[in-house]
Amino acid sequence: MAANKVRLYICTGCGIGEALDAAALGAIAAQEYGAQVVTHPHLCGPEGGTLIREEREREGCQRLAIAACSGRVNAEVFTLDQTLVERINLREQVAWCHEPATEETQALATDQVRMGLVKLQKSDFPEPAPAVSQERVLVVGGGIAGLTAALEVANAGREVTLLEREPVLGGWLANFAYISPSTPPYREPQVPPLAEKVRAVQAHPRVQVLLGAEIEKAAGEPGAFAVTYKQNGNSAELGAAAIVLATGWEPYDATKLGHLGYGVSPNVITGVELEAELKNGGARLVNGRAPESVVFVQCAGSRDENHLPYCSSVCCQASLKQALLLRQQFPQANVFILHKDIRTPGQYEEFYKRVQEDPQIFFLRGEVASVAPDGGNLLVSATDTQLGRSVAVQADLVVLATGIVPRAAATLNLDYRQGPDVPSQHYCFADSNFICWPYETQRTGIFAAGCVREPQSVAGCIEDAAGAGLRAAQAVTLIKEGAALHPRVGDLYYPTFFLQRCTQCKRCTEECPFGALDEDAKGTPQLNANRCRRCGVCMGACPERLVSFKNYSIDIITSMIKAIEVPEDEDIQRILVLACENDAYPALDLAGARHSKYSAAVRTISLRCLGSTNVVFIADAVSRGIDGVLLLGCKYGDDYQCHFIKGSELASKRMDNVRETLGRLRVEPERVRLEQVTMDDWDRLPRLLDDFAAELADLGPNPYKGF
Amino acid sequence: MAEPVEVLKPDTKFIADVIKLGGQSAKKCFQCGTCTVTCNVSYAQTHDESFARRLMLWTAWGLKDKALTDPAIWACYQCQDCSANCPRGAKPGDVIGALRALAIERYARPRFLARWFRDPVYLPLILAIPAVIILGLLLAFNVQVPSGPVVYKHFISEIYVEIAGVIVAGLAILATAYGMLRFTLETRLPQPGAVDGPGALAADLPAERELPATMVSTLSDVATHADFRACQTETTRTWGHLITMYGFPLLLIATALSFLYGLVGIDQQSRSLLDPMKIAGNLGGLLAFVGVCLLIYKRFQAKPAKWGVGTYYDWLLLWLIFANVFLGFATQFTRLAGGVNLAYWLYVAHLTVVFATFVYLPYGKLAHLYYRLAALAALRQGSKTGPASVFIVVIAGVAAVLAAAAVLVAVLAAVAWVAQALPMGLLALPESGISLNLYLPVASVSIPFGCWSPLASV
Repeated sequence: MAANKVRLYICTGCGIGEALDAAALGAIAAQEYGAQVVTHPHLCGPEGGTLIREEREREGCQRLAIAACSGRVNAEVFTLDQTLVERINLREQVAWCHEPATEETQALATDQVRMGLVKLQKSDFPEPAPAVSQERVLVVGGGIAGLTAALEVANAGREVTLLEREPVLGGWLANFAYISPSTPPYREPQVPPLAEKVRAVQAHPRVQVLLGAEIEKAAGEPGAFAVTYKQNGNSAELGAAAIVLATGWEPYDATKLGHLGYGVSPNVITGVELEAELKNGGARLVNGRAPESVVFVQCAGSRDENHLPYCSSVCCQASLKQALLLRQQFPQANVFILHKDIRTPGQYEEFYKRVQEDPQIFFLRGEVASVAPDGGNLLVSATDTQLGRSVAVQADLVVLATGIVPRAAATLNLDYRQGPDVPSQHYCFADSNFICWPYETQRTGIFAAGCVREPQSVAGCIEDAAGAGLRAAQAVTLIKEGAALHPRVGDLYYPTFFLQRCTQCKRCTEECPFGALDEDAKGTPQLNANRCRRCGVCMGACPERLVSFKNYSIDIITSMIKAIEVPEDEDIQRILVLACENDAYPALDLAGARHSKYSAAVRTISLRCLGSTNVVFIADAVSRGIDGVLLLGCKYGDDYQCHFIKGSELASKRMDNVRETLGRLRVEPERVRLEQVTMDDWDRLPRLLDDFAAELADLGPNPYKGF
Repeated sequence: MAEPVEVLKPDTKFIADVIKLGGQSAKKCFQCGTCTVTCNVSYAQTHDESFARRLMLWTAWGLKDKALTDPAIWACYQCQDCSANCPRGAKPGDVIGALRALAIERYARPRFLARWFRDPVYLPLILAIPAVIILGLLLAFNVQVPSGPVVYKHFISEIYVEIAGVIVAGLAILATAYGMLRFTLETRLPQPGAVDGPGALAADLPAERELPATMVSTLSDVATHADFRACQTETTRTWGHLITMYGFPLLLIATALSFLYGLVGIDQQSRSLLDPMKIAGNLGGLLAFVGVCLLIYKRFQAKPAKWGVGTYYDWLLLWLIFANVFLGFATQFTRLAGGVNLAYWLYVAHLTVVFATFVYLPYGKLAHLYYRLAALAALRQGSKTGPASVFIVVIAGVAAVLAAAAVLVAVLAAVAWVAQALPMGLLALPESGISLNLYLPVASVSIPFGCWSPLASV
């Protein structure tokens, strides 16, 4: 085991030395794990950093344990080339949050050191990344978002293929004469910034444009997508390392809006139809005359449970713009805007103010009751207007502001076991939690921009496309290095599957949040390594425990649990906390940084995601005599905060299994609990832990204690 | 759709008129209701749950009839609490001010006279009519500026001027009466529980009151400016208005006494300074002067970004009152200083402005004095007795003012009697009717103009 020889550095700075007996810790590490121990008063200082590096050179020891501050700080000091470094958190989670120089605090520190050293000894260096062949970025959709994304990627130095379904570039904007203003003073409609984008794309040496092309199939993985497309009746294939999905939107089907008068009269039209008229020489005359009264019906089919339950966020400003254009074309016309609310986020409020200034544009809040023929024209009735009354307006022309429907489905035709479409977060938009996954979809290496991701204005699409494009360019680089994308950016480890034991239960393939696993005909999982985000959900899911990373595995975690010394004294508690590294673990660190005190019986193991919790962890802990297990994961549900989408939710589902296991072991199910925490729960956590300890005390000691 | 639904027909000319009269911010309103809850005056007074907000909506929608027949437009003192707090800069106070101007115009006959008050172009015309009448009288009867001590009745023969004054005054009174009648018939009386109209009274208030209570409440509010003083943004204006307002009954008393003296043949110009008529006239003039100066100063201090500095329409009334009082005193002091020629011509100018102020009463902003009184009564009275109550309150108001005037006259007479009893030669009555320097000159000729020349009567 010479290669597994470990070297332990114990820092006594930041109060660690006062709270703990460093010499005793070192003695145990040397005795139980054969570690060479170095104690230093200020390890993160220049002297400490130099010392570690010099000794690394001299001794050639490849496994270093740093028992000091949390692994979340000072990463640059303690990261060494060709070296496995394990950070043992003696500061935030031991010295700062427990009574100094007590037996229990010392015991906690000892267990922390043991767990860290076990993990270090059982970890190994990553295997080289699977080679990938592609560096090109494919942008799907030639509208304003796609054009912008293509330019951004190309300007970042990558080759781009821009694939557009229509025979021309431009998307919807090609039909728009004007858009709402996106530059100060945000007062007058602007000509869309399309022509220059199209010219720039066509002239760019690194952008290849495919017009009239549709994707038949996209197979493979980031770094090696194989995309089959059809152009002019012929199928062809192209390779890509990353994909930007900018397929845009289509207006909600107005034929479903009979209750708003669509189809009742040819003079009930949609906003998109009016847009086309405005582009082609102006709005229609009605019965050969300029319309005297035009009514815009906002939220036509939007914010309506029977149609689109959401707000498309741009219809208001679109109608405001069209109202101004109509007033320019027909100076005598009265224009009514019948709305639920006027929603003009950000600077578009200035534009709303501008339109309000027009004395002949009238804003009516209310619910549309009917749009019906009335003599030669139309009568729009609305209930619950500003003063609670019902009012009606005569109209020559009625414009329905229909909402945005994303064009996400059936565009990429992914050849994934989990289905052909990019999963949606809400309402079929190809989106993920925007904080955890900016611009990313739930398919690794595929980035969404523009209205396919979220309803937004032209300015929003441009910004979105820049973000998505740069994320795609960055992804190409990372994947080429074999490194993970967000949130474990740069992680070089892949999961490996010991398939001889696989029972083809398909849990891993079904639960993988990113569709990383395909299946062969029998149902055996097949990893597409570059689709993997390294969350370990498959590891938690596998009943055969055959999924592992070289530095994160069932064996490593269970060995860490077994390294916890459970005293035979029944009055001394031990509690295992399995904490998600993204939110719960930092929250514990923050509690420590505030010197909040909580039970020293707590032993914390940081998990990549609560979704990687295998039932065996809990079974092992309980059978070792640990009194209780607390799983701290992210919020789940509609407003989830899990960095891996549904890890904590999966963990909570597995709690049923856990209860069954506990029942088999004849242990009270209350001993294991899952709590959802966010990073700002640092003030709640100490009490939560103490309350759990008190409940466990009420239950009495774990019956397995002392076995 | 069984319920008959109101079909919106925006009156775009009405919107343009509101904009011209200082309500250009009306369209900025987005109906948040901040004005409703920040109004310390009108909301507190009427517990009207959509006050200001609904007027803003009707204006933005161009619903002229609804906006102008709502008595709540007169419940607003334009104190600017709403405009100061409006998150949108919609300046409800200024918009409602414009609505009041349009309401005055709505009831004015002939209406073109009211339109003259909107535009400075017509100012020469407004002043020219009284000037022509007075100069016409001069030309017809006596173009000579008399020599010797200034005696105004030697300058203008009183009986002809009086006849002309009464004819023109009669026309103005007819126009006022017509306006009040139309106002009374059209005004939408408060309906308890209504949001879409005036006076949605709060549940804890009686929806309708007995008439005597309404009268007492309305008149005491006007007399003390109790509601007006609840305002937090424009406090100086409240006092300016109160002081100016009290100048007017005093000037009215002076005028009435002057008229009375004329009838019984007392030569007014020679009356003592402590004559009740002169005390009332000078004190009234002083109050009006101080008050109007405060109001003018306040307008100069206004913040254009937050609320308007006033339109020409508003300024016209302020400057007319200022000119009245200023020219009145100037006439008096010029005569005292012995500037004979100038005194006569200042007198003509003064008469012209006085004429312009009061003959045009139904056409300009000054009409608010009776429309507001009637509207405040209507808002307090509720819908119980119908429009008649409004009339009753107004008549009671006029009676109350006259009664107060009578009491004041008695007090002033007592003061004068006491003063005369004192051994102060300077203040004693002279032997002859010829004035000395201390005898204010203007009074004697004021008789012909009757109520048109309150200050001149001093």
